[in-house]
Amino acid sequence: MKKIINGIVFENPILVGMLGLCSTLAVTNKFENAYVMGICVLVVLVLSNFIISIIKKLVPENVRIPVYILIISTLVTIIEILLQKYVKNIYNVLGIYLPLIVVNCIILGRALQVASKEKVIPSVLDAIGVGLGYTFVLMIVSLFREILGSNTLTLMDNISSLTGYKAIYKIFPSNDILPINLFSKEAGAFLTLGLLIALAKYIGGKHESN
Amino acid sequence: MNLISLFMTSLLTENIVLTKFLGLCPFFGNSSKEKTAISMGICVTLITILSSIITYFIYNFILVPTNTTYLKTLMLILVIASLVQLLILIIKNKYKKIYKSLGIYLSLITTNCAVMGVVLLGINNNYNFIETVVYSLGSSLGFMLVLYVFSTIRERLKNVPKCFQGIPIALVIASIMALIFERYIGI
Amino acid sequence: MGPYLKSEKDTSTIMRHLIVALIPIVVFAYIKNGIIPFVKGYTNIFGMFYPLIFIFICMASTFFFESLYRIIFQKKKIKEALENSYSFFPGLFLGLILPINTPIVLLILAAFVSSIIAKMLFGGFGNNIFNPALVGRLFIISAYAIVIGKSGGYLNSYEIDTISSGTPLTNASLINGIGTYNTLVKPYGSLMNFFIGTIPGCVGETSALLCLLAFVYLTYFKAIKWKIPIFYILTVFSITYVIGGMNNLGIWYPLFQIFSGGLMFGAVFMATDPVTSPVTPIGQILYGIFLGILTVVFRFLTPFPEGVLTSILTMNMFVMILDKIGSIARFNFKVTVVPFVIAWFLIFGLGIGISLNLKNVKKDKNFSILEKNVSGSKISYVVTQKGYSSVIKARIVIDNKKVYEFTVLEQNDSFYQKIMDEDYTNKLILDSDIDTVTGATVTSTALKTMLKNTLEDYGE
Repeated sequence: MKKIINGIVFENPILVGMLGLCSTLAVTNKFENAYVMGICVLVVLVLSNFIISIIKKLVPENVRIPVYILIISTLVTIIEILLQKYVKNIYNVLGIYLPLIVVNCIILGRALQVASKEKVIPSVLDAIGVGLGYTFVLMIVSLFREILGSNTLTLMDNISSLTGYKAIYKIFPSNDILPINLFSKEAGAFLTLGLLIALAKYIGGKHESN
Repeated sequence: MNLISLFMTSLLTENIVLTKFLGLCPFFGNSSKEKTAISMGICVTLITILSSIITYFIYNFILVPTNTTYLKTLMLILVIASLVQLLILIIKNKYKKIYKSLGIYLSLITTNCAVMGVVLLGINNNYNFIETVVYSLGSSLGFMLVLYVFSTIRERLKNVPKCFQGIPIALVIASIMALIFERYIGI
Repeated sequence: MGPYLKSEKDTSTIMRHLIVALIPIVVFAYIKNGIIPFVKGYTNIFGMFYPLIFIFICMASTFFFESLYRIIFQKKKIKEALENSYSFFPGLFLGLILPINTPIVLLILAAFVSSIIAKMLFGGFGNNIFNPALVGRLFIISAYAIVIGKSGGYLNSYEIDTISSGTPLTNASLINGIGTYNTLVKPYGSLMNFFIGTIPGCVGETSALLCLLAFVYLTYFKAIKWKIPIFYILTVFSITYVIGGMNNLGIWYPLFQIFSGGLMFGAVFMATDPVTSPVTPIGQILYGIFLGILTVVFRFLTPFPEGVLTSILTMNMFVMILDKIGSIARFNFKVTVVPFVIAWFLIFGLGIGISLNLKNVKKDKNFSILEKNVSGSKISYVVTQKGYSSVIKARIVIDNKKVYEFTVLEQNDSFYQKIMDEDYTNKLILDSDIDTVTGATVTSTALKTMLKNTLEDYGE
């Protein structure tokens, strides 16, 4: 349990490790995209850590990285195929960022750091923690961006083919000031993430000095 | 003229760093010195162009006819990884200085979102061969441009408040740059 | 060698001169946007003072935000925090470069962006990379252009009722081709109007005359990096002179370009901002030249009207590089050759390229002139225009700006078999403003377009 919390808070891949920023900025324009991406990454992370920690003794040192990359990309391809078949809308929306999970530094980084060294259960727990940490950050950023940027909150839209629900909410009454559509665009993404990471650093700094 | 506008678009208006968020990891970690920025940029450009060419052929002549396009991710990462290893070997033997300064960042090109992203975008947009080359050239030069400008800006930064040092201020700078680059439509 | 190494005394003297130079501009902004509309009866007492209130709100907001930041994050005591003397400068500039109809909430938002995001986060005065006021304006324009447009945009209450086109540059971008004196300058008066500043624009940036006077004043007191505005304006003048020349426009054209779009204001006050501009002499010259090049590029090749804004912010990114070139140039002058050669090429290449582009791009591709015979004031054309399914050939004779004859010579459209008589074409001639033709089809549209294109060519 401690390991999970560790992954979410202290070694949060985005806020502390500064990894996986590409996808964070790209998919957080809608809340739905964010948590779907988070789930995908979580699944890939858990499975890859699981597999790698099992076979870690079988893999010689110098081919570690290529082998791990192969495993990860196979997993991602499987997820791609599944999504493309069952929830095509989301697949189209996520676009190139889905295959880019392969090169998401988080997964490979975690594999090298943890899964290749520790036993199966700690590795999986770590994966769950880090994956949840990633997903939470994505959700926070996307909440901010979507509410401020397009005055909506999309809980379930494109995955409605799976669940059968559509849930898009409008938050504020229409006015001229909000939405600041800047936040739905790239500049807003950079800004939001920058402020969030600075906030995290600030809190972290205070925590340390205590 | 279409090729020129494709080039300018991939370089400026749809710059892969500022509009597609690709290539951020080396962007923030590496960009403290100018020379490393330029050498990094050149390496990325080479790898991107070569990967897109090789991928173009494999995709269009092997994957598509056999209806196995879902293998593109796997194929792509293999191509990129091997090219990077090749590049590292060449640099290690011929340009020892560069190898020393770039160090681990070279291997990180493999996991650089930019390379993979550009090639994937090229495939998704169904470019023909020349368009693929032009597009990857423009995109990676755009990456290099932003990386270079960024490194020079970062040299100037002093007195940044503590919790903003490093990545946060870089993100703020990136957001301002993104706003500015938005206005380059039409060139 | 950074700007922040200047001594306190220098900085405060410069700032003082800057304020003095800006006073006439603020007064003019007040007169143009407040007093004149009031006197002419377009607004009330509150409206008369509104420009001053506008500027004051901006200044107060930046002051407020910066002080707040100092108290909270820099843990300064209230008295010390309030002593930041230059925090209202971004506000002052903001007030002068934002459209008068910007809602007050947005003013405060812009002030927040300017002071906190573009300035304090970088480390405060002397450490910012980008010009804070310009970042604030960019933010507001990017996010709220439509909102501002709804409340009237750049036109104050007097201008909204009297001027039908927008600001001079918006007007220029809507014109087909490069425009003429009548279409570019006349709607706003004469070139003198442009010089004095009685044209629509942002609150304070319209008066070229006052900016020029300010420039002279500031240069005399050595309070400004004078190379930058000189080379900036010279470059814009040169390129637009070439463009104008290639299109047979007089010298008024480059002058028109210089006096509009807040170029003078931007060149004198925003580009020369001591913190965000190069320090070395060669760096400054290059800065000015490239600013000019970029402004022309953005004005002619992009759909947005704020060329000056984008150019300055873009060059802000390159200041460090320019300074590097500048400092190397002290020892090794050859280094400067490359950038200058590039600049030279760009200046003339752009001049020629843009004017060629303008000549061709807006011409209707379906229209072509087969014959053109001039005799005195009468020009006889044989022209073709692509109709619905085929090409229509006609002879059009224009005399003294009136359509004298319009005969359809040849066509294959089925519609035409019916109206091969001259009544139809006569009707077109009589209605000089051909808007609606009963039973209009695509083919009759083609006729109208053909006539319009011919008239256009006649007018040139």
